[in-house]
Amino acid sequence: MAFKYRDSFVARLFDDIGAMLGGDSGVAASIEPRLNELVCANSPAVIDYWKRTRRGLGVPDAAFKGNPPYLFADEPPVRTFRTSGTTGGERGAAHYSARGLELMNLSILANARRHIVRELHSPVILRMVPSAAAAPDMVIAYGMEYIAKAFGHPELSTCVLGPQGVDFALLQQRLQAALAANLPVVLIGASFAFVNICDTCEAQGQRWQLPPGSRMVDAGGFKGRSRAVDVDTLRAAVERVFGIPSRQCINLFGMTELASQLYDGADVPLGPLGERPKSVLPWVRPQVRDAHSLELRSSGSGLLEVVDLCILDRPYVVLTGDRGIATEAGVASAGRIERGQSRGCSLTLDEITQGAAARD
Amino acid sequence: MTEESLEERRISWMPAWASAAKLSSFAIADHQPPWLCQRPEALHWPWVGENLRRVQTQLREFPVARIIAAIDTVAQRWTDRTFGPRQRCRDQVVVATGFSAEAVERSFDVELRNYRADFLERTLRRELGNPELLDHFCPDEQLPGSALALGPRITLGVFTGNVPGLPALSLIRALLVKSTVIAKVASGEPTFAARFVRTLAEVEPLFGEAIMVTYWDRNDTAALRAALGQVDAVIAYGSDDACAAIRAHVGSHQRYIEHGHKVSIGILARNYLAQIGTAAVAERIAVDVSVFNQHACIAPQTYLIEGTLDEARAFGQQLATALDNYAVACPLGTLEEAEAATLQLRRTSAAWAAATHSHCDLWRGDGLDWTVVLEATIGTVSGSGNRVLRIVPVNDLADALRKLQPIASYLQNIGLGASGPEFWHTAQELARMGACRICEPGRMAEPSMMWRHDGEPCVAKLLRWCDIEMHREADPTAN
Repeated sequence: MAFKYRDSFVARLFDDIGAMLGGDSGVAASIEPRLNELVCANSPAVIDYWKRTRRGLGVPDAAFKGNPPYLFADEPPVRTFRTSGTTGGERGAAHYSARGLELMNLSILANARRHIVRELHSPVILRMVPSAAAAPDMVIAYGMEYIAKAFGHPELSTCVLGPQGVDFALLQQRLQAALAANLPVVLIGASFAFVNICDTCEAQGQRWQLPPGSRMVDAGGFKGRSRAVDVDTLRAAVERVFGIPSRQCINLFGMTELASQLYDGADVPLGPLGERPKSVLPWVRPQVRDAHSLELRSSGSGLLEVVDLCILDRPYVVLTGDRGIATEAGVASAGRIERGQSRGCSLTLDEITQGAAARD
Repeated sequence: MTEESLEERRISWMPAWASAAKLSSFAIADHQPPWLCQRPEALHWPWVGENLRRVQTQLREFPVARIIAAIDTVAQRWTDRTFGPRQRCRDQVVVATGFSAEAVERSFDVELRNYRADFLERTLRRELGNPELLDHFCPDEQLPGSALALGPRITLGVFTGNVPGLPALSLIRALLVKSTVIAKVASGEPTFAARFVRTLAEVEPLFGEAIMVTYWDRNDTAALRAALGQVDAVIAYGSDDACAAIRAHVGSHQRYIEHGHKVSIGILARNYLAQIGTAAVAERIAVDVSVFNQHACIAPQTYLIEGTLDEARAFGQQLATALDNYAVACPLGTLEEAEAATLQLRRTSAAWAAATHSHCDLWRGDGLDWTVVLEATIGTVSGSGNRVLRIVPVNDLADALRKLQPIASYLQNIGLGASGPEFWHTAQELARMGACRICEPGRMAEPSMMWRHDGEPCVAKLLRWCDIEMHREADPTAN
């Protein structure tokens, strides 16, 4: 029997997830079993999927294309975010109910407070991602703006990415203003955006020594990009250009399919590009499944899965499509798993059909 | 490392004339323990060219019949599963590719039987008419006059590692036209070529002098250009990008044969299934999918099945049984983590599709040995070999042809299960679309030596010709 959105079971679960995000550790242990009960009751597809694969296995990112899973047939979504479509053409979608969206908001803030803002008060938050108005279905645009509004300096915080790319004049102006007022700056943007911005600034001989406490948050890695830069090279460039030391740089792993983000938890290079292990939090944790058996493993590499206890509207365990590396220091994301591998003269159908689509 | 284990790690073959002083020794670190290789120093590629051209002046004096006989002896040995060098090579290929030993054995069986004398002679007769055209001027009534076929002095072969034993094909095509060879092996399977050449050299020592097997990284354009500078012809295998990178450096004076990306497909007509029986057809398709672990471009990625969704689903179950039975006798082998992860993602995507769409389904082995996916279209799920077959129901064979249209330019090998006028009509349409081989389901993995590979006469394409016409010596009616 499916739970309705307005059933007390769902209302209590919503309240308790909120309490967990507020720091109430007493409720955390009961949330995952209840989320599991909700998914099993409301999504026969997940039960069927587990029968065909393995019980408890995260749903693949491919599940969010076409007819994405949404647990409350009786409650239309209030918001939908969409994937970029960089890994397979068709864009995926994640639907949110009002409660689900509120939990995502709480998770974003709890994570930002812990990993980004920390001791700062009203820093200048400069976003190198589109504004939420410019990209209403892009979750990173929404989340970054939400963080900036909640924690950022109200006058000086802004988005510096417009339709024509980075607005360097605006970036310079806000950096100068922050320097003049001795306000720490938080630079937030996609990993590849930082590479381009640092390249441009260095080519133009522009450098800043931002006030103490300034920091950088990069997200997204180099998925679908022609050029991959290792973590320490990127951070060295950020230090040269903005005067932000490497220890004040942090990487964020987010997916449209998730409500919570994963942030670096230790400054230990683990992945091939020096990727750091992500924090395990009471409400979101990365884990790695063995590529051969799909069993969870505490060390070694395999398929990266995320258990996100802030997802109320969809299956809360997601198989990311990324490679994960598990060590005692934690789990790092280490790039995308190839969807099809051509070998010699043998080509995969997807490559042909995508190539044909690209030419159309 | 003992001398024996060092020998096992060696992947190059250097002719006796190749002085060690002009060679560099290095290790390919992709594998642990690494493969060991020798390659001419950058400055010494002209010396390689000089020596291979010298050897070719001897090789060109060999009658083609002698060359065929020697290759036949080699093929006879290599088609014997108890032949020691083949057994040792099999073990190395298992290490390099992760294929099970039986999968390598079956790859060798299919690949190497093509080089028996009968097939070689028929290939030459098909492509040249008279094999003796390679030995001396032969009368040509159509000129009228005489003609002589001349192979390249040196051919460069750039190989891939996807099919165990495949480098033999290019080596033998080159030897048939009396060409010496520089063979560049692939890091994915670098072991077979040198071991095969060792047997060629044992049977016919001049072959050992005429072939150099070596390696350079695919991005090492300096080595590629240095080798290209010495050759008259190039045979290249690889991806579109890899082939384009080679083609960019080939001169207009050089013959170039490319085996780039291709896709193979099967089609089953309702009448054919009724005639042969669905279980029997499923067993045959299991062979198509499993040989070479589906890494070859001739292996089907998809079978289009005339019938309803329910009929296709029932056939999927039979395919699952057939693939499982095949895997018991011939397992897939061991996948590297990246390949296993790709396969698992594909399975999870297919499992979700099956859980949410009535027109989708999934069957899989307990391990990673085989996977069957029922889909509505031919191209919504990634494929990467390792015995993963997509089946797609179609209304009729015209519907099958329509579904293939988007990939027409890549079509290669078609397992066509049809009969009578329906077979001939569909075959003609497939040929017009781009297919270059049509065979019975179950025979997709074993194209003959005589097949015009990728639609080309691959032996004849290496040749240049000299015709004598309008001369009384060759045509008594002249003047």
